[in-house]
Amino acid sequence: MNVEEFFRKVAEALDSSSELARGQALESIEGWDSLGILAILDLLEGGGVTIDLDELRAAQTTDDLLRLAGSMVEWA
Amino acid sequence: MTQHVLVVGASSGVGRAVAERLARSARVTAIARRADRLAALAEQDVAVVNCDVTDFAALEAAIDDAVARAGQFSAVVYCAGAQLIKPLRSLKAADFPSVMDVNLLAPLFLARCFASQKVSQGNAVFCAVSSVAGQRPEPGIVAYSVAKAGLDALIKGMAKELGPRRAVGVAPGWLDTEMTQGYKHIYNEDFKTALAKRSPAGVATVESVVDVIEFLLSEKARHVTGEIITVDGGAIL
Repeated sequence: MNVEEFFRKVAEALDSSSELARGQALESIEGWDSLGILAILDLLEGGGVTIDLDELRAAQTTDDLLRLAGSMVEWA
Repeated sequence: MTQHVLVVGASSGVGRAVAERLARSARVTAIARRADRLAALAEQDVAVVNCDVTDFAALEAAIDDAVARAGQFSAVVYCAGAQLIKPLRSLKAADFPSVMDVNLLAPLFLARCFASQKVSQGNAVFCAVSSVAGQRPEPGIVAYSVAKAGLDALIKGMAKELGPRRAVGVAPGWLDTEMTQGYKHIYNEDFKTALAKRSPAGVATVESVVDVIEFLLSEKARHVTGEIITVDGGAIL
């Protein structure tokens, strides 16, 4: 999936109605809390990405999520 | 009558430890999904059956074979379990069977078999491994908690309907097992440290859970039924 699709899925997982942008602070996104982090973990695992929960908790921006998603996201 | 115990979910963790412990004093039939794990149990005089507990026809056939071979059960211990850690909004309908079938529907089917005098002795004991999550659901494990709460209700219902047979359960907190180790992104060193801090009697172990199961199956617990004993070192207090 491309970056836009990935961000749409992230927003969906966080139950956020807002559009996400590159470099956006995760703390500014509605739904980015302990349950939201589990939801993102599930999203990444569903895409075949295995990461440590602490690594995900340490993420600060949407760019960090892109980095963690790795090959799950196609960089055009 | 002969002591013949059926242990369901004996691949690893509590189930395996229960089978090994009880085999010292009773005939034990152990059912597990992972055939490779059963060989070691077979070496300890445990009759082993490879069976997926969610395949009810296969489970019933395994039970019938075990009874034909070694007589009606004096006890049945249900230890199979499957965890599911997801927020409610991430749950998909396809996730439901994975948590409900093993944690609730398979023991319900087993209870239905246990209820017959053709399968269990008149004073037999049914013991299931529940979880503290059944009493205290936590965020992220609601589906699992629902299944375990249903299992608790099954135990209480069996105690009422099947007396003088007894039905009991144990409710461990987090134990160091293959199942919890599989959630290494959550069950990490920080988690273990926090768990130890909030467990005034120390973090429960597989062996301490087996100790309680052994007591519940024994004559010493002859008047204990419909009870689910928490074994978590006090972590949920």
